Amino acid sequence: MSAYSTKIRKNDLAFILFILPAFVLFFLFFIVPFIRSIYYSFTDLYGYNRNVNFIGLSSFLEAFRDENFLTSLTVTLKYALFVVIIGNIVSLALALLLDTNIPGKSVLRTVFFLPNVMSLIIVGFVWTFIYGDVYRSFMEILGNPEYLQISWLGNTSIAIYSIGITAIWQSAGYAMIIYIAGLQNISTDIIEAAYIDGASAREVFFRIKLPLISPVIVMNVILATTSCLKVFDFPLAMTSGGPGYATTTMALYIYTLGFNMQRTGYATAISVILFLIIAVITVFLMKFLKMREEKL
Amino acid sequence: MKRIFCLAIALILLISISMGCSNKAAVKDAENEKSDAVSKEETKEEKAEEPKAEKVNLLLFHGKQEAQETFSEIIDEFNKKYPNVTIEQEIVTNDPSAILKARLATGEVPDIFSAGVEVIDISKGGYLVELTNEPFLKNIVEDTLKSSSFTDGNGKVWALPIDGSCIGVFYNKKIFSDNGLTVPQTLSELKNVCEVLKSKNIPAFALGFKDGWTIKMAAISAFSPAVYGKNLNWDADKNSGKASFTNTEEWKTSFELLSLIYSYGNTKTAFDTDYNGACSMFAQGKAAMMAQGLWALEPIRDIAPDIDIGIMGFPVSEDPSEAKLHQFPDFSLCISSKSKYIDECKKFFEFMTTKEIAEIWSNKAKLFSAVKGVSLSFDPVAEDVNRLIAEGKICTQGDRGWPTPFHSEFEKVLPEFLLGKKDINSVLGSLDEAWDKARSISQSE
Repeated sequence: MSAYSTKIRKNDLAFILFILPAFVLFFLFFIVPFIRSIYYSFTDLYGYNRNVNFIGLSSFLEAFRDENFLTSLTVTLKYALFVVIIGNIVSLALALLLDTNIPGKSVLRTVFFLPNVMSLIIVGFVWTFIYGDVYRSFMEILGNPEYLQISWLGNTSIAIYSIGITAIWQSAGYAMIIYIAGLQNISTDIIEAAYIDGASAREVFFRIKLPLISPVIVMNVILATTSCLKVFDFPLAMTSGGPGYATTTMALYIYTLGFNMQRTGYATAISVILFLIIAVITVFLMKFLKMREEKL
Repeated sequence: MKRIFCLAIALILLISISMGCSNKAAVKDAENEKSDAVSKEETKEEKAEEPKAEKVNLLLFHGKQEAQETFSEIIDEFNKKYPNVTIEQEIVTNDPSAILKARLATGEVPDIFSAGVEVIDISKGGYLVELTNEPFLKNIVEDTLKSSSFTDGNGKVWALPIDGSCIGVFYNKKIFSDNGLTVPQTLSELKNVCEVLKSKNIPAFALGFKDGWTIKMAAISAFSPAVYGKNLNWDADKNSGKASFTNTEEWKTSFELLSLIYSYGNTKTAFDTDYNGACSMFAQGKAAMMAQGLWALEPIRDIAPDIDIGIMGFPVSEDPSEAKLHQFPDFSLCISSKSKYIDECKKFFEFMTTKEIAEIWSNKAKLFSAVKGVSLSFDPVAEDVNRLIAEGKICTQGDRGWPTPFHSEFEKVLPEFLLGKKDINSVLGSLDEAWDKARSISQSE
């Protein structure tokens, strides 16, 4: 008995030793900064100034009166809704297409996944080029029709969606791979049986495939939502948040506040708010989608 | 086979480690070894074997990639005079001020660094060596030195100005003469020029508003002569409550001038075109004017080396003498109070302020020198500038006295105004608010 338990303890020690490096790094570079930023969000930390005063909740109160912060919040939500919904539809469509036996599907899978491997900043620059020079030269070929004179990144009401399109192009492949995995898990027996029973392709999709991959959908939606709420690279590379505040997402606003305006304390307060928003939305999504999943 | 392979790799690693060590031994001062992933350049390590003065290794941190060679040249000259001092450049081009801030916070401070607009802010944290009574400051043009970029409210000097630049309106002389136009001296003449160009389908101004800062340059070219040309102390008046954006008529004029620039430029594509796009438009003769800083000469000359252009002050009123060019200090250097070798740093500063070195610098950097009596010959446009200086059509005050957090607010308001999201009165109101808030934040000590 005692020999047995010491063996277990020895094993535990080995496990702990294996986890330790990762845990120490995680603690040092994640937990500690996180706790410190919560502390700093209650202070008036400013740029190079060494004097830090405790100011309680005033940064948080200021945030909700700050027009620019509220703009960044709506911009982020618009972006997230657009990218999550359209993005998931696109990747699901691609997955359905590539789950059939069309020729060259493994090549196509690679092609669609490829943008995901590229650096976000580079993707951003390439798309800036596409929206600008490439689009304009196309229009010149078509003789500059008035109704196609779209300023993709310069128009305040569509710029954020233009960035969204880029994001979808970049991330659709990733979600697609997960969807394909989900679709391939569905046993062909069920689908065959349905066809024999006279179900149409549409019915098979809505009544069989969709319910069976709903856990995958939940996962993809949650992954996409969290990454969209934190989006930073695309707006920075493509518009630097402009024109005005039209594409300043929350993460970019935090960056501007902290590094251009030197308002470090206020910036950390907003990053705490961003954290809370993401946490609430994720928990809500999990609960809600899980519920739906069980119903289905 | 595998074993031999492993052995070979181990050997290579060992050799590379020992080589690394021997290199470092030559440089000696281990604490100045910084290992950031930024472009680094080591300048001449050891000169002739002098009877040993203490070997000093200084780290010079700046964000001016284009000045790398000029600095190397100057450092070489400096080494001839002081063989025991080596200076290493560290150049960070991507957001140098953020990197510098992180360095200051962690105590890994370079001995000498350029700090841009934030000098006074940084000095408040006690990070800088005060330069007020240094003899080499006598070589600097007084007006420049007094600028709020280097001297704080108590008359203490914290940074050494190196050069200055200006912001105004470039114009294409050929387009002007082809269309029978003369250089506008007054606002109504400018409006006339714009109308004539419009009737010929030539955009009057090249706009690259996709890059937010270019809008600010256009704005400065107008508000510096309009507001600060009339009242150099507007910032102080604003701080004391005597003036405000709302009750200063000239601010309203400035914004009207900005929308004039916008409406007569490549308005439709303005927010799709970036700074480089605007420069190439102007260089290719697709637009007659461009409101920018002197640094735009470089991209313009890259595309069209022989283009016949000039620069003028923005005609802000019907009085030709008010069409002033905005001149401001550009590059400056500070000494860290944490440096071990403050005396050597000061020697380098003294060296930078000698006339010969200042001449090398200015003609390479294509900017005005902050050092007295340096003549300029880098570009035909410099003639225009020299003439404007001689006529006194220069305004030295612009955005440099603003509270740091206000800059971004201002930059963001401009496109909102141009795109019609905000009207002029609400813009001015929000600027007043933003200024007061920015000031209270940056002063809470």
